Amino acid sequence: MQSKKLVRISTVSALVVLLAACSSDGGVKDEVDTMGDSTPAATTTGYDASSKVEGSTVAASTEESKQAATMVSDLTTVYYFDFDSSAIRSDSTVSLDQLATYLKQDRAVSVVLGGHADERGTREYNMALGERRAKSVENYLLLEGVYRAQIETVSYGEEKPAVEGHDEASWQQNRRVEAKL
Amino acid sequence: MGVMKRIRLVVLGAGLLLAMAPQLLWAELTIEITQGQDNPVSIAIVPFEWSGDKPMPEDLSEIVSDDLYRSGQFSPMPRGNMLSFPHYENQVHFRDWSMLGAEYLLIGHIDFDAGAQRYHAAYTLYNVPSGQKVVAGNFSATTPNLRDIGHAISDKIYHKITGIEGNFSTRIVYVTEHKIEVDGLSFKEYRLEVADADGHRVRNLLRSKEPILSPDWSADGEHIAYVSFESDRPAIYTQRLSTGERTLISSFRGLNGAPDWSADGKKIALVLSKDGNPEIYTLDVATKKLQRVTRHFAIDTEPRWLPDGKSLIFTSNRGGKPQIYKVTLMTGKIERLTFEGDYNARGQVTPNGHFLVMVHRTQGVFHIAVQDLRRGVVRTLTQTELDESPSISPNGTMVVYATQSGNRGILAAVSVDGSVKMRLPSSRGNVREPSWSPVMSR
Repeated sequence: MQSKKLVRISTVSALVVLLAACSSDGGVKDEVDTMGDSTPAATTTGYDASSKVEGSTVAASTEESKQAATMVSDLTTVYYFDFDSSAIRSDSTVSLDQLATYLKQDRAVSVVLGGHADERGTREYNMALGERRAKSVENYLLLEGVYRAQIETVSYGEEKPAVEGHDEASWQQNRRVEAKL
Repeated sequence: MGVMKRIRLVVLGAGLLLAMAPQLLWAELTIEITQGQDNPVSIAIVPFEWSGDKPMPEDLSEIVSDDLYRSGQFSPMPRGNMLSFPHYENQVHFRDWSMLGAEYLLIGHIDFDAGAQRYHAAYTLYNVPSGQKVVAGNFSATTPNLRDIGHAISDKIYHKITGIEGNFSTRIVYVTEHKIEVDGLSFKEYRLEVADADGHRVRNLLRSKEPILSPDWSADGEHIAYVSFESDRPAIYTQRLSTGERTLISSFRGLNGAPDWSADGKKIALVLSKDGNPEIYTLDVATKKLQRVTRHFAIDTEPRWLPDGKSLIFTSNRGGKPQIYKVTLMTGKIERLTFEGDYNARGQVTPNGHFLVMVHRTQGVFHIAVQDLRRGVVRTLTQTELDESPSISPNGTMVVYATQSGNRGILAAVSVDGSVKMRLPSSRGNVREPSWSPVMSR
């Protein structure tokens, strides 16, 4: 096992990626864009440390990122849910419609939908709940005309909270689906 | 109790890993009794005689004393109160022990066999009022296994006095989560660890930068099944404790979760969503044959074998909220077991089949609760918050679970009758997902 792990991280570049993608608060954050407002609703919290190295140096590279991917940066990529619910909330539909439009523009683009739950309740139930949430978003996009082949879902349950607090404000931030393009 | 904290440095051959993670420490768990029984049994455990020239690597009498104290059912006499330290019957004055209020007296002696490099401990337990011998015997072990002798003696004493099998020789597997700082950046490291039931002798089984959850023991105590996200997707592995050898047993598209080994060791119940929905399956470990158990558009998860091996309980929100159901494998018949409260999950039934231990929400707070399956009465066992992952000891008397203390995840334990409560804090990181081992053969 250890040797396998060593293989996975043994190149210098992989190490740099891993370290660069880790923000100082412990979460693995990719701040793609803040949508011109500072609410976390507009922050994409990545769950894959092996991509988007520019995350930790976002301030320096914001301008060129915006020019290169204006459409992506216009999207809101986190959608929130009520407790023990996988129903799409009405405050997410505008963002999801934009995501669908973007995905329909270029059928070569795909999205990974990561489903998450807050810490309350049991871990395996939350794993199922996270999947439910990701599938709800998937179904919404399918109904909007996005191809199934463009969408992948994965659940992280309560294992990767966006915020580490133990109060309702934190829990609300953690009941989410994150779209990763 | 708190003085037994010990920190060990993990020495790694892997230089790169070491460079990335300079704080690779792990801590033994300590155990603090927060509530014991009202009338614990008073027992005097006399320090065992040791004839060697060097000090004993472990204080066996103290291990026995700590075990019995931590059961919450015994009150071991402080050594300072003892008037004498007998090691053989002809040195025992029962009137003295009676005067000191001891109901039981344990004496013994230890010898070292240099040829076999083994310690031999002989012990005798007396009932003080009657002056009668209750049980006597001897155990031997090599230095690394010396603590096993203490736990084996504790098991004997506990069984003789309470009539219940002792579980001091068992272990607990659990998951830890640590933040690791490298050059001001921090990331998480998850570990799967095994410790003795008293928190000592911690062994690391797996380290990963991705989450690990739902560890479960095989019936023979030689393997652990668990869910690991190391591939960025949930997959179930089994790992042999003696060699560390791992086998990937389930990595279907979607969920691969909640493994639970059957009592005969042949099957693992699990959750898969490969067909679009979280459903319960059983996997034949030898033939790899999968059998689907549930068919419902709701969430079905957290399967647990019932002691008879013919049925499973599981969590489902098919009634709108998470509740615990039972399915009979032969017939597929499903019945709902829980009706009190709007969140009952991760159930496990005691070995005698009488009690269902589960996560239960009352007034918005998650506690560990027990439902008497014969009478239907639900009783909340814990007062802490965010309690989860209950796991019952093999003798059916104790439940270890995960809870929050301050901002830290810790383990705690409570007796099924609610009379004994303890915390098992670790000196750093979050500890969770405990699973109690079966009784190991010595």
